Amino acid sequence: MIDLLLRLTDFVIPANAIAAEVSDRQTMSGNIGFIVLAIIVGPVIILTIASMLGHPRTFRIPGLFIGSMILLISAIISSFAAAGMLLKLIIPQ
Amino acid sequence: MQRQNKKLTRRQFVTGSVGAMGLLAILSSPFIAVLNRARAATGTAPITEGKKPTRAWCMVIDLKKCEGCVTIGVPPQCTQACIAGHFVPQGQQWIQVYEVESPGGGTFFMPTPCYQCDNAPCVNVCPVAATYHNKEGIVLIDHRRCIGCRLCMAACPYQRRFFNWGTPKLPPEAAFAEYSPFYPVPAVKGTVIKCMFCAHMLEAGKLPLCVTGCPMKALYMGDLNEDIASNGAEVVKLSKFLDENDAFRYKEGLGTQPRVWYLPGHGQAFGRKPDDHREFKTPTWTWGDSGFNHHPGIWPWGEDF
Amino acid sequence: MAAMMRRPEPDRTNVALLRPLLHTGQGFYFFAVALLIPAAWFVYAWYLQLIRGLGLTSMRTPVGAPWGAYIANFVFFVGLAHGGIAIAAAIRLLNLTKYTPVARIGEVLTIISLMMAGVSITIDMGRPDRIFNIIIYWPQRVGTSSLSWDVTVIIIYFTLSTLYLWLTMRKDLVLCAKRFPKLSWFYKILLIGYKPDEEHKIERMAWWLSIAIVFLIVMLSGGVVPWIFGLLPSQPGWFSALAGPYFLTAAIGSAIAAVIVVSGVLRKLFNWQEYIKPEIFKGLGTFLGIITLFYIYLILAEQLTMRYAAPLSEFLISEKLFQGEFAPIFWPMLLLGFFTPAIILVSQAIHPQWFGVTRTILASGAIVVAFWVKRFLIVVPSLLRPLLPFPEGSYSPSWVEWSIVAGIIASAILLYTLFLKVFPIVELGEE
Repeated sequence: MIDLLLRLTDFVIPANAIAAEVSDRQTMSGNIGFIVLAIIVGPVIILTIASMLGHPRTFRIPGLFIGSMILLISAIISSFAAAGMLLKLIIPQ
Repeated sequence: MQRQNKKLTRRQFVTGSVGAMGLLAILSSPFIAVLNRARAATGTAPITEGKKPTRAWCMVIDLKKCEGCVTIGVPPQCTQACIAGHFVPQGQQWIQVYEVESPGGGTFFMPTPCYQCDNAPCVNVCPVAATYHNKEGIVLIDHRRCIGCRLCMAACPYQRRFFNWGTPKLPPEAAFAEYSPFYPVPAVKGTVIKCMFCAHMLEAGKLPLCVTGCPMKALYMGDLNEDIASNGAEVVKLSKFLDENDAFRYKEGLGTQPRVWYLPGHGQAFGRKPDDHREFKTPTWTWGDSGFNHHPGIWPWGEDF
Repeated sequence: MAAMMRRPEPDRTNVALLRPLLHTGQGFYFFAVALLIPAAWFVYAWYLQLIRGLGLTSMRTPVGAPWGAYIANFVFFVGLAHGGIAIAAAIRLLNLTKYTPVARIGEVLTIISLMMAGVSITIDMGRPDRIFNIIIYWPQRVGTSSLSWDVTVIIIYFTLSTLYLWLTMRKDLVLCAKRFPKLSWFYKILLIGYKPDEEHKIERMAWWLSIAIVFLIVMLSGGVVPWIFGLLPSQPGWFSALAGPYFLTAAIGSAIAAVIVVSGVLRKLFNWQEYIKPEIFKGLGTFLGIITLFYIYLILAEQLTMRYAAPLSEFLISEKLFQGEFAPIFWPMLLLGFFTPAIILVSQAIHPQWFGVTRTILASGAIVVAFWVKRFLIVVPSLLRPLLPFPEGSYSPSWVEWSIVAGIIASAILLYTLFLKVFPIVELGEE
């Protein structure tokens, strides 16, 4: 099972020796980024949720909003993948 | 009644979606860890823990012995050995020797490899983990992963990272080399490259090429765990050696914790005076023309601009 | 015209505001071709760079700069992406209804600028074909890599501002769907799930989202983007806690200036003098003048810190700007790009009879250009200073870099023009 998973991820992430070589030692406390992002993203999530609750109690628009948000973010991420694949064809490897 | 229903669905939806996202995040993290571990297990990494004591490689550079190879009238032999051993692209000097001015108007020579900092700014900023510490404390780069954003170059306070601005022109035998982060040959276009303490040599139980290449035996490779160092001719007790020779690290104040120590001097061990202004020769390449090809090529009006 | 005739009672305002959608004259095609030429040239230059490598740029290492015009362009476009949505949010939060006509002009600017910022950074990468690695290793690297934070926050900001634009535009799209049957399939996709009673809910959502977006503006242009530079102690001139406010002020300044320029051009082009009133330019101009003066103060604070008792390295960077190789662009930028326009704008506020729309637009245009130059002067000089005792390099962009930068700007204008042809750029009235 794990072998199959590995082979699948190898398709996307070419496996290399890094995982075996890399040290567990953290050079910098490895969570500063999580703190920074929590400070940035946390309020945004709270405000976005606040925007969906509240008086005109309809579920339709917030639902559309969440749906298109997920759609848009996955579109951006897949456009990263698409751009990468396209450029792989152009750049001599 | 209907309103009640609606309210329930909305609340369910909000809590449900937030919960699902959180759950996904929590669930995926051990998954990634498992994958990494599994990959480690199947990986062809040469390090097998437990069989060998873990090394903590470091380098000591005795400036008393380094005279920039001016007294023997050749380009610095450490750089030269490095270039030959790694098919270094023209223009990059992974270990570079600088002529630094002394307060009194004289000069001394300073060989600068990558300092393999313990608190490496380059490792911290890399967005794809292409540059990393291995278990022996060497900062390596995986050129199959590097995206070439060059943030690590901006972050390195020692400017010891180089960029492959194009496909380097290398001798044909470089193509037969088997690439690994330990031995980044041939250099990959559009990626960052640097000294890696000759990890391939250390792996084979040999000293780095610059250490063996130095005719003055000014470079020592050491192991902080075992507390020894060697320049190929003698073996010294590292801690005592550093203490007795007033060792210092370059730009210590930045807190990067380099693994390269310098012993102050100006090549006096070989009789060089600081005001000896014999010409310092720059390294030479037998390949690579004039470095990377900076000409656009299929440019409508000719090769050059 | 034909579409207009079919309407039994054409609403005068809406017809005027839909002019870009109703008429497509010769001028448009000339304009589009004029923009397509640099855009196509940009694609060719990028193609060359992709197959030959970044060596075609003037960036060099170790003697020279590893970053150059592309990164300056990236920072510039991220900055530009803050005015529109900031204006829109301010209108909603502070009830500044008189600025409503320029709200969407700015929102569109935001979205297109963000796309161009993404393009700039992709072009700067040595291996753009591995761009997906950023996503793959995101969970592993977000702990310390400032670039990973950037990607995260830019994606969130882009998503939220696009959705904000979409939500607030829906009621106008209903009108468009009725008026333009040819494109109605497209509008209908965007109008998915539309019911006439949704306006109230959207108003409320937009209000809360405005707060979220204003917060993100501070954290993006005053946060993760400057932190790419400001957190690196290796580069004197970058390492500074001032980086955040410094970049944020620049971002808001350049963005407001760009909104003024774009609104001014659209106003002239489509005869919207009635709808985009002079007091909008006056208000925005005054604000821009104050922001620019504040930015000059920040330059003073920065340069004084670098020159007064600073370590030699900081002083040398400052000296490069004051007397060195960058002086020929630093002083014109400061005097003609920031100081003079700011004085013009502020004096207009003091003396109402000196006010002129064209003058405001020209001053804003100068400020936009100056902010591009300023970004270049932030990125390059620090990188040119050698960190080890070797000779100093120099950097001036190659023709490939200029072509790409010009092409990106042309593409941005082209995208904007296309948007004009499909969507109403000014909020429509009731029909």
